[in-house]
Amino acid sequence: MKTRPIWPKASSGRVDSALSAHSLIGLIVGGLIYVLCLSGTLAVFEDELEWWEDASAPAVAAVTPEAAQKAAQTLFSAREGELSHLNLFLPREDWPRFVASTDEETRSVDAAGAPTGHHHAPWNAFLIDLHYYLHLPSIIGITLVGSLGAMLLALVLSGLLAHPRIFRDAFAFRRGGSARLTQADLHNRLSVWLSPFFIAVALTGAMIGLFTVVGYLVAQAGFGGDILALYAVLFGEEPAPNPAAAPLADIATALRTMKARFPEAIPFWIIVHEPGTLGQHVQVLAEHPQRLIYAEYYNFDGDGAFVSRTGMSDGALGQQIASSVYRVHFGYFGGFWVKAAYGVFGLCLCAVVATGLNLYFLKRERQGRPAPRLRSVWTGLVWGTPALLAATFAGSVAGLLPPASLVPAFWAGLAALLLWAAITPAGRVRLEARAAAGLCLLLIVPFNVIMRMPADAPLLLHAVSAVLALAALWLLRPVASAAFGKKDPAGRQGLTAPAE
Amino acid sequence: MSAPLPLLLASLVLIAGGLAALRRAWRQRGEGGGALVAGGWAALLAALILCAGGYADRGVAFGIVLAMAAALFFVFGAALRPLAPAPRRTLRAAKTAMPESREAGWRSRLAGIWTFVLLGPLAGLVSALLGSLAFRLAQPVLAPANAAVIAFFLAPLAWAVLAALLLMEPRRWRRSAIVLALGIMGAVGLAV
Repeated sequence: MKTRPIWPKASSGRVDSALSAHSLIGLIVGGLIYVLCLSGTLAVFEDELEWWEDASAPAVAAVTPEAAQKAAQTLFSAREGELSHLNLFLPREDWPRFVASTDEETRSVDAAGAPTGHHHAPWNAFLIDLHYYLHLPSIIGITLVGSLGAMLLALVLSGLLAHPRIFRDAFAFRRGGSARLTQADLHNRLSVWLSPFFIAVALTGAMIGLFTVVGYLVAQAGFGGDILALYAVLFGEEPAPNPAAAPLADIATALRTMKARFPEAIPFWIIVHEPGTLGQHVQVLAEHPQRLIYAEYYNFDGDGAFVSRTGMSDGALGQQIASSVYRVHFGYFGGFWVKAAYGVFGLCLCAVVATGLNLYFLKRERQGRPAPRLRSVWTGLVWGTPALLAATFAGSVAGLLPPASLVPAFWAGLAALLLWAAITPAGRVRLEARAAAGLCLLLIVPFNVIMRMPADAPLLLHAVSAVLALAALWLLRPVASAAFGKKDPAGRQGLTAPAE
Repeated sequence: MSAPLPLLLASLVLIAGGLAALRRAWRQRGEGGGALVAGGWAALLAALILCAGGYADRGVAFGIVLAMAAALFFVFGAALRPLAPAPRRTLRAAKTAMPESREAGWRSRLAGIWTFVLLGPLAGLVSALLGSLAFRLAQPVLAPANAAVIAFFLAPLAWAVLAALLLMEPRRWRRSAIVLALGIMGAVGLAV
């Protein structure tokens, strides 16, 4: 019996034009997509990195309703002006911390509800800002990031169309042959098998990023231009404000009600809207362990009496889908192992983007039209981005770079590195950028462990230290190989360093 | 979510079995592999159903992650064995697939800028219009939240499809005409 092909038989014209489209999109947006992919991969571990950065903060396994009330009251009493929101971030299974924030400050809190110090994780905020906004003003930045998500989706689609033997070659991986074949196989195999992941992160990223622009048009089309009415349909309505003064809302009663009436829900975020006013209300965001939804919103009045559920778990399907986008994008739905898998898949996506452009330069060389400067600049971006991320991370943790300097340091550093790369052979760019990234990590790990981490630091913090140290050693491997006169296997196969 | 061990093991066995069957079928290159291909996909589907049975929508997502992780093991396993060199066809396709500049000078640059504007801001705007039009059409029959989510899904998807298909179209005037036609359709549909 002959197997009937699952994939439609490709005409050579279609394959060529799909490949051409794939290459063009990659050339235009590949650099920014790479920065987003790398920052997104790191952002999957934002909780762990944030805690490592603020390592002296206490570990908190659980918070009682009374402790939550006390923490909220302490921050509320310390306010200097009117507050619009007061947030309590409760400990979770993979984030054993208790953090409280208002419009004015963010504090780490101990299990008894007493603030222990200012929450200080500026590099983590820098990383999230990079991934969400590329450090641009919020609407412009998030729309650009959403547009890049759509382009990543276009790359996946054109790549699949351009692959005439997608299933037959699904498990083939030629290693040890020419650099181009090795890179092509790495690019194609990872792209095929991880396409569900690539499509999921690209589509959800584009949805999140383009929410404002598409929401504006949808609001025009169906809500008389009132975008808040559209938000209310998806995420619930806010009660009418009443600015008259009142004691702070009864959070403890709300939490006790949650435990009694909704024991299956796991509260992780409490928001007091317009705290200290008669119009204040409390939202308890709770995880539903079997669902992809980010949270169900449980609404309480200022006295802590239960009012309603917004319906993210059992309301309209559209609400449930809208609420599921975030966890699918960041891999927050299966504990540590799913996050770890997302980390690996994210690195694979970075490798796919990097090898895609590498293939372009290799093909140009094969056709007698080499572009060594451009290729060096691309190598500079591929290895310079992690180097600058590592340098800002180390500088921030060591206290050498104040929070306000992280963004200019990163972008100015990257620009300088790309300029240097344009006049430097790609192999040297790769080697030195890797060395810089590895050294930064290698220096900052013992510094943080010795100087800032408490003696009884939990296992999670040590695990982060170990992963960072291993990453440093991997980055430094080609440097060590060069020093000891050994050939670097990755470089030998042309995985990263072009012929010079 | 921490999956119970029996569910995890059963899913893993099904996924590994499914991938092994697919690998064997595709390495045979069309010789009597129909049953293996069907069996392989069926095993992967069964693993997803098993995960969904245990953990609803979160289980499906977990199952897909598990399948992709297992596939990576297979692929990197294959990476350890050198295979036959690539057939000529790949080389030919690669050779013809370079985005080359056929026109010299300012006309080429202008064409490049126009292509960028067409695929970027214009196709994005047209896709957002199409998403809103989908919302308008779905609104009478669906709950507002469901209609809205269709728009939020459709807009980026339409942009991606449009960008890929437009670049596959070699004639520049035709690319522009497609975007223009879709834009007019979206705008008129929303205005009516």
